[in-house]
Amino acid sequence: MEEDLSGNALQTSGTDGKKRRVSYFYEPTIGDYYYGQGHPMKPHRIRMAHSLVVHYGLHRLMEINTPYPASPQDIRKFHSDDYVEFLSSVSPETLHDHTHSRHLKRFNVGEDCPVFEGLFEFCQASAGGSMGAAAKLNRGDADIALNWAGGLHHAKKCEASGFCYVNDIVLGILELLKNHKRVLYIDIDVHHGDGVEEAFFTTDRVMTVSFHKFGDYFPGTGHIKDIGVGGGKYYALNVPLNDGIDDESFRGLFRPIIQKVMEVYQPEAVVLQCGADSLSGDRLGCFNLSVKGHADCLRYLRSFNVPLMVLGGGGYTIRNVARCWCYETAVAVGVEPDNKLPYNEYYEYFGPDYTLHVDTSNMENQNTPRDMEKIRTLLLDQLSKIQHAPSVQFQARPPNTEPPEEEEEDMDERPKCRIWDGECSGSESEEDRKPGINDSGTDGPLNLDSRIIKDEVMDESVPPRVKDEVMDESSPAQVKEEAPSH
Amino acid sequence: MYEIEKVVRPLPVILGNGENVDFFRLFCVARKHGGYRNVTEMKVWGAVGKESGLWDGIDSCVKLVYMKYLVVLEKWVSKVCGENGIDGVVDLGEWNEKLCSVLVGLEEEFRGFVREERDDNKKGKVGSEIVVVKENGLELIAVGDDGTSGSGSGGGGGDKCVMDEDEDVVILDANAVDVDLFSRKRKKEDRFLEMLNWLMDIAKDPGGSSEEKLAEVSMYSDANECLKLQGLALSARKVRLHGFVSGESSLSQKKQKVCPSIYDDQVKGRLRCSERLHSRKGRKTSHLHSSSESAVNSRNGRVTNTGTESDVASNSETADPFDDRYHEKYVAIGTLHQAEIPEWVGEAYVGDPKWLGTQTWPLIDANQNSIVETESIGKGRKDSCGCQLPGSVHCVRFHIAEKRMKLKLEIGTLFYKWRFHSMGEDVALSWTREEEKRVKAMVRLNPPSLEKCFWDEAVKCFQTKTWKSLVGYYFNVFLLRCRSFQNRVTPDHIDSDDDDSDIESASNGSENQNAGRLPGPVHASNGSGLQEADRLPGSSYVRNGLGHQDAGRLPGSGYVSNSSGHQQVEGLPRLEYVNNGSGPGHQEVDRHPGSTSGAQSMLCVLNTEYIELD
Repeated sequence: MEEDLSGNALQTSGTDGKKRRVSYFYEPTIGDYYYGQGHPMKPHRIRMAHSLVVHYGLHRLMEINTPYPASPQDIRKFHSDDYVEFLSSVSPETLHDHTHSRHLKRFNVGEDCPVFEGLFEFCQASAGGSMGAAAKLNRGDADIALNWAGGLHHAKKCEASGFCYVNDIVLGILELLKNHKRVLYIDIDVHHGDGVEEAFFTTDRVMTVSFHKFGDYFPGTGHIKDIGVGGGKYYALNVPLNDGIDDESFRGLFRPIIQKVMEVYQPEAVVLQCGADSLSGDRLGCFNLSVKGHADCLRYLRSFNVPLMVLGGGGYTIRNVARCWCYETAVAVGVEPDNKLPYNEYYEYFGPDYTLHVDTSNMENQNTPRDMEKIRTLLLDQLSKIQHAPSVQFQARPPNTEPPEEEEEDMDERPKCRIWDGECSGSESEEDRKPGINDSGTDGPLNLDSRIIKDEVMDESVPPRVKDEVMDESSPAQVKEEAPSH
Repeated sequence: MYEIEKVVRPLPVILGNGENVDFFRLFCVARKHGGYRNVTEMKVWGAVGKESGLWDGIDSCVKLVYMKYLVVLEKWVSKVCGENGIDGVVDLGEWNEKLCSVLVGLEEEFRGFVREERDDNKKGKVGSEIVVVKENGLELIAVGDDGTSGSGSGGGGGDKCVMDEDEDVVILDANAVDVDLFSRKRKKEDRFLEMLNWLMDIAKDPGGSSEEKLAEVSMYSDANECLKLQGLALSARKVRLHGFVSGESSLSQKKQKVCPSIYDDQVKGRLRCSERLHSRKGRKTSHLHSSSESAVNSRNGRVTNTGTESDVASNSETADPFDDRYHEKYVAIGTLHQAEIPEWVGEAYVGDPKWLGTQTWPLIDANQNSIVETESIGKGRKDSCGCQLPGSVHCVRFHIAEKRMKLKLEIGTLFYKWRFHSMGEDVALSWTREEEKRVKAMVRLNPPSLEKCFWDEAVKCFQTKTWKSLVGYYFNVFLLRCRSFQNRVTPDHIDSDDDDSDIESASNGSENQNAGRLPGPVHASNGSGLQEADRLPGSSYVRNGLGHQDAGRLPGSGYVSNSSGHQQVEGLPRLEYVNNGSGPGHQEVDRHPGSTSGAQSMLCVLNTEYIELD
C-alpha cells in the first residue's frame, strides 16, 4: 500500500514547490544523557532545539515520532559484532572490569569517547532516529525527515571516534540503499565526515561530499585528493577549507559544487549532516557561518525536491546549536520564524539578546578568493569525470527526480505563509538578494553559477508575499554580537 | 639541546652551496670526535664538516644540521650502547658491528611483539589495524588484520592493493605505536600520524638524493628482509620512544652501496617521484606532501586499473602546493572499514515498520487542540510586554510560565510525553531549597581547575537522586541560572559551554546573590528558589535584555528597570519590590505552571505591582 503512494506522493507534494511533508524524530529523554564534566558534546542541545521548535509552533507542520531504539542486531548492519557487543555491555561501573578494560583502547573508548551512563541507549536513540528517518523516506511517507540526535559521522566500523560511537548516518544510508539506487551524503560539519566517507569509500552507490576545515585539524582526513577507491573512485568529494569561512564564501562553493553533483550523480535520496560546529563562535569550530548561511545549505538541497534526510552532528556552543537546528527545522517546513525568540524553557540560554540570529564574528576569513576558485575548479573538474551512466545503477533514471532548475522556480514561488497568518515571513528572498552573495555567485570561473544568478532574478520577479519587508524591518537592530565562548 | 623534537624536518638536507649532507658520515665523524658536546666544546665543527666531505668554513651550518637532525639519534645510540655495553668502543668498524647486533636484537623483539599482538587479535574476530607500506608503488594503506584477501564489500579495490604486497611489504602493527593512540578530538595530531608521516618519508625518499635512494630501494627490495625490518622496526621504536622522526635515514645510509642491483619496476616508480622531488626542491614546502600525493595517485591508478602512468604523472605535475599540504592521513580500506552495501530492492522493499517509531504528533485525538486558540507558526515573542520591569527575571519567568501553559493546553498529555515538565527551571520544583544550596556549594568546592569532579561528589551527596535528575538539574536549572546571571551582569561574557567558566560565574553569582538576599518568610518557604537570580547585590547594575541599555549603578535601595519605552522605576524600595514579586500568586504559578488560574493570578500580582508602583 505504501509502495503505491511512494512514487507519486513525492511528486504531488514536491513539485508544487510549496510544502514538504516533514517528519521529525525526537527522543524525549535525549537531553538527559551526559558525556561528563568538561566534555563539549552535550545532548542537552537537542532538547533545547526541540523546545524552540515547539514554542515556535513548528511542530504543527510536521509529523513527530519517538524513534524506535535500534537493537544491537540492527547496529551490526554496519558495526562489527565485538564492537557492538562491547558498546551494549559496557557501563561506567563495569568499565574497569577485565573484560572491558582491555577493549577500551582497541575501540578507542576513553578520553574523547567516554563511557557514560546510558551510553548505549543514547546510541540506540540516535541510530533509531536515523533509521526511522530512512524508513519514512523509503515508504514515501515524508519528503524531509529530520533527526537532530543523529549525524554522528566519525564513528567507524570497529571503533568510536570524535564523540561518536554508532554511526547512525551509515545505518540510515544502508537502509535508504534498499530502496534508492544512489544516495548522496553531504556533510557541513566543521570536521571531516570521515566515518561515512570510509564506510562508502569503495562504492558508487553512495557519494559522499564533505565541507570541512582541513589542515592540522581533527580528524586529519578529508584531503581534496581523497576521491574514493575502486568502484568508488570519484564518488568521494572533499572540500578542504580554512579558518573563518563566511556565508558568502561557503555558499560560493556549496551551491556550484552541489549543483554539479546533483546533475551528474542524480541521487535518489540525499542525506545532509548539519553539524552546527561550523557556525561562528563554536567552542571547537573555527568557521564563521551564520545560522542563515548554515541553513542555506538545507534550503538549497530542499529545492531539488529529492527525498532528504537531515541530521545533526557536531556543535559545541549549545545555544547556537539550538538556534541553528530550530531554524533549519523551520526551513524544512517552509517557515521563516521571527527573530525574537518566543519565550521557552531555555530562554535565558539565549541572552542577552534572546534572538534567533546572532551576528557572526569579525574574524579573518583565511580562505582567499583564489583558494576558493582553485578548489572549485579542481572539484568541478573532478566531478566532470563522473560519467552520467558509467554503471548499471545509472541506467535507470529515477522518473521522480526533476531537474533542479524547475524545482528552484517552484521553490521561489512557494507562498510560504499559506498555512499561517503571515505575521512573520520568509526572508529567503532577502537572503538571496544580498549583494555579497550575488558577487560570489558570479565570480566563479565557470558558468555553472549562472543558475544562481537566475535564482536571484527569479526572486525579484516573484511578487513579495505578505509582509516580508515588514518583518525584516520590525526586527530591531537586535543582534548584538554574542561573545564567542572562548 | 637534547630536547626531543616532534617536528618533521625536511629531507634531504642541502646546504646553502648546494651540497648534500651525508648524515651517516657526519654522524660517524662527529661521534669519532666525541659527539655533539665534545665537538662543540672543542670548536672543531669545521674540521668535522670537512672530514664529512663538506666544504670547509661552514662550521655553524654543520653544527646546526647536526643539532637539528642527529643529536637525538646520538643520544639514543649512546643510550642503547650503554645498555648493551658497547659504549666505550671507539673503533668505528667494531662499533658498527656491535650496534648492528643490537639492532637485530631489537628487531626480533619488535617482531615478537607484533606476532603476539596479532595472535591476540585473532581471537577476536576483529583485529587491529595494520599499516602496510609499499615501497615501489609508494602506497600506504591501512588494512584489516586479516589483510590478505578479505572480501571487499564495495568493489574489491582494497583487497587488490593488499594482495599485491608480495615480498615487498613491511607490516607494522598499529599497536606498536600504542603510546598515544587516544587523541582528543581537539588534539592536532597523534603519534600514529607522525609515524605514518615518517614512513611515507622513508618510502619516498629514504636516502636524500636519488642515487642514494635507488641504492637503498634495491637494498630494501633485497631478500634481506632482515635489514629492512631492522631499519623500520628501529625507526618505529624510535618514533615511539622519542617522537623523533627524521634522523633515521642516516643510519641506513651506510648501506647504500651494499646492494647495487636494482629492481626495474621500482626504478620506474622511483624515478617518477624523484623527478617531482627535484622539481620541488626549490620550494619551501615540506617534502611530505609530494609523497602523499603520489601515494594517492598511484593507489587509485593501480586499484582501478584505469589510471595510466601518464595519467598519474600528469596529475601530480599539476598538483598545487595549496592542495598538498597536510595530506597525512589516508582512508583505510578493507572489510574492517567499509560497510556492506545492501542489494537494491526498489519499490518492493518493505522496511520493518518498527522504525517508524511512535507517532506523538499530530495528536491522534484531534479534538483536544481544536478548541485551543493557538499562536501562529513561527511567531516569536512580542516586542513589549505589560510587565513593570520588562526583561527582568520575574518578567521572563512569568512569560515562560504563560507560554508553557498555552503549550500544555494545546498539546495536552503530549506535554508530558515530550517531557516538557522536566524542562527549564521548573525542574527545581522537585528540589528543596537545602538541596539547591548544596549543589551550589558543591560546585564551588570542586572546581575543575583542581581536577575535582563535582559529579562524583554530587552522586555521593544526593543518594536519593538519580543520575538523570542530577544531570537534569544541572542543565535545566543550574546552568540556566548562571546564564541568567551572566545576561544581566556580564552580558559581554556569556558562556554555557565551557564548564570551567560556568562554575566560575556560578559561584560568583551565588555569592553575590547571597549577599543580596533578603530575609523573609517568602524566601524561606519558597522551595523553588526561583527568585534568586534576581537578587543582585546592590552594587552591581542591572541590564535588561530587551534594550541593552545600561541601567546604571544604583544604590542597593533601588532597582532600575530600563528601557524599551517603559516606565522607569527608580528609588523603589527593594523590600517592597521583592515581596510583591514573590508573593503567593507568583509562587503558585511556579509550582503549578499548568494551571491557568495561576498565571492569571500572577498577572494580577504583576498588575497590582504596576498600579502600586505608578
